[in-house]
Amino acid sequence: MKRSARDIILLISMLAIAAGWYALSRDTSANAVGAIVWIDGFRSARLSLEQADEFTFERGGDINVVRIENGTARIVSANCPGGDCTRQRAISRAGELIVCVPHKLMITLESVPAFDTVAR
Amino acid sequence: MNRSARALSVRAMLVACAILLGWVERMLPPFLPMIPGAKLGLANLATLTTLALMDAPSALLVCVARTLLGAFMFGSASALPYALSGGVAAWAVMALSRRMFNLPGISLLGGVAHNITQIAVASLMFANAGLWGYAPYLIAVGSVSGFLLGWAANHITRRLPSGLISLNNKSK
Repeated sequence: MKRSARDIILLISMLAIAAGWYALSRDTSANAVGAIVWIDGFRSARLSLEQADEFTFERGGDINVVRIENGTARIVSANCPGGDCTRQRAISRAGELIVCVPHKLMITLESVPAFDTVAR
Repeated sequence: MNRSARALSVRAMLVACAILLGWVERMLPPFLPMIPGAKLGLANLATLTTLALMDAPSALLVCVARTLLGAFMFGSASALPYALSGGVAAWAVMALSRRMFNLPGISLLGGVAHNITQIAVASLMFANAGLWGYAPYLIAVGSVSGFLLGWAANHITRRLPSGLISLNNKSK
């Protein structure tokens, strides 16, 4: 086979792998009810997506402001160098996430209700 | 000119080109800002050119030197472990796939290896495997941008005056 043909086949198969991985990881597309904020590997808060609010996370001068509205979570402001986390889309489905790499902060979503709301 | 001095100068020039390309990319608005880690990887053009016209050790040197110098000049310390591990992984995969593919394919594998390594490093740093959720996006972005850069590197290597970038002293 010609080498240039191999390159094209490689491109197509890589895109197929990406599409397959995406399809397989999509079973978590249920609407989420809670956002977990992880800082430096530790679960630091669980925010309910059910009521609009704004939360500020501060650790050693690293600030990220998380806004909850209409069942979605996003980072509205941060003092990290690139501000990439503020440009990530609002997330609303379990399995979606937002990261702020310089601050080692991550937000994941879960579709199971918090323990206290179950108990209530 | 002394042969080793010439090879050294050529490598230094390629490092300078890589840093310049990295700087240009930093000035461009991020394409796909919603996917963290998605980037074009313009600086990889220099590594690819070195790999194609010189040898694998020179390409590693260019890759590591430009990553370190770039980080000192305008990068951030927090991005260095990602950039360095991604760069070295991409180099290893590209050096190994050289005999199997043309530049677009080689560069594609490098782009995918770079992005997968970044997710692996980030998962360790964040102590959270949830980051693998970005893998399908980053594999797709790495493939397409890698392929396009390889295609560009193909044109660059073909248009450069022959012998300008080489290990031996062909040009005068």
